[in-house]
Amino acid sequence: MVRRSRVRRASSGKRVAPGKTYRLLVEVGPHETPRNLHHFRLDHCCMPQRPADENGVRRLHAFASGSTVKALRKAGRKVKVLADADKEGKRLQRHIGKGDRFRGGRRGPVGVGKLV
Amino acid sequence: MALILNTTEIASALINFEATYPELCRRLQLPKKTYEGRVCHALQIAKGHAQHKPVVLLIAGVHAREWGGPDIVVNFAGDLLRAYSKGKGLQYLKKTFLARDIRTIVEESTLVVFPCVNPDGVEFSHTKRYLWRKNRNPAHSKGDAKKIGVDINRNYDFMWDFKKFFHPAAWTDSLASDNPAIETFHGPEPFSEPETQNVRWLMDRFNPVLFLDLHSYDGDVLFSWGSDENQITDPSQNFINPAHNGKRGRIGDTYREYLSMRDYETATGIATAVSDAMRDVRNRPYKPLQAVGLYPTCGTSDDYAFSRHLVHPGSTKTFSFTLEFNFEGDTKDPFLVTSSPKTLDKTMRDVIPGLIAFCLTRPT
Repeated sequence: MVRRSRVRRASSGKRVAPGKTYRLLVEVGPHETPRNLHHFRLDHCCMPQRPADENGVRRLHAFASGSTVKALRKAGRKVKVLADADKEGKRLQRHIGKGDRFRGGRRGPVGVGKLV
Repeated sequence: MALILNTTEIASALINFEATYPELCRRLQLPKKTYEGRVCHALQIAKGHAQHKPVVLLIAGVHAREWGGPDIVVNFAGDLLRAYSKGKGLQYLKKTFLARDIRTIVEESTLVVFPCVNPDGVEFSHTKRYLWRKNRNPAHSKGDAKKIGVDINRNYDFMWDFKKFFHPAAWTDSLASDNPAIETFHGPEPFSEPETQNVRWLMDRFNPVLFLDLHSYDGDVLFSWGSDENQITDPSQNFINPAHNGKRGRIGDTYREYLSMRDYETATGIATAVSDAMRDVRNRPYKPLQAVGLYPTCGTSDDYAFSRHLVHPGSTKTFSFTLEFNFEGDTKDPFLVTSSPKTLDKTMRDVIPGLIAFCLTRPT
């Protein structure tokens, strides 16, 4: 017996799981605005607004859960999954400073400009 | 190369500046503690008496996941203080500021920087859920972790009650939301949050002539208005006029928000000067943009700051901006300025010249 995996392969080659968060590009048609995607409750604030291509189609950057990705696809939306945002977040958090490199103010940042 | 500053380090940096440059710096304790009990500080930088000098107010660390904003502001203050104390200018690749530029800022204005408005949210983004945007106030969550927090940059008193002011067709999640599960939840009332109360306190106390809120990302220097397209011909079409309630926020229709020609020229002039300075560093395509060009918004810091002189005639006019640093494709992840620590250094070198240019402008 072949078991169906709970994880489904997305068209972009990324796998999506319902409870995880993904970074996406979602197509918005020539006569549409992001408002047409309002009911999907995409998180697209403070993300860049790509200009439309020659066919008037725009691709909206957004974050959404795997279940929302599934709902978008079911509604006929083209979705490209760019990354697993949860996994990406864990990797990126390694770039946060640990402890207090300034020792309560006994040291301070040196700045980045060159004195001239 | 630098790792991103954590919230403890941001606080320690300000302590260090005050201790190292006592004649130039003063830490200001903000009146409201955050929900998690953090005490916030801003830093005032001025040579001699701060009174009667034009005030420039810079804030960052508002949206928790937009990492790098506090680092930019802290290092901007560090560069300025170090250069002034040594009588030097500053160079960022191809962009150079002379020693007299630095003197102009420190001696002829009062600079107030508030590098981390939302430390609870920033800490949560750094250590738990990276995509966190709001503060950590659980008052409206009813025990649901996904409903914690208020979007600080929808909680200011500028057309906060969006269902009253905006056309129903403009009611999108990016405008604002009254649903706590949404990233732009605007809170139960304007200025309900300690973070926005702290920023308002700074505005009330200092009456800045210039205000800038640092966010990421789209490579823009945004100027008012963010609620609708601008127009310069009909002063009666304005956010105060109740005759236009329920009509605002639709792009391409007949309602547009009034801005005088003079204010429009001043705002675009400043936004252009800032973006030009950032382009000069290594030709990154920063550009001035009316804030509504991103999408219509309400309850934001920049429109609130600029609207104050219209709501309270006779008060200081604050030319206000939001700088969205970094670009699509800069890193593998949009909000991260450091997929490698080298990227953060580059971002700081790009943006700090914009902040210096901003402080050198004087609204007319």
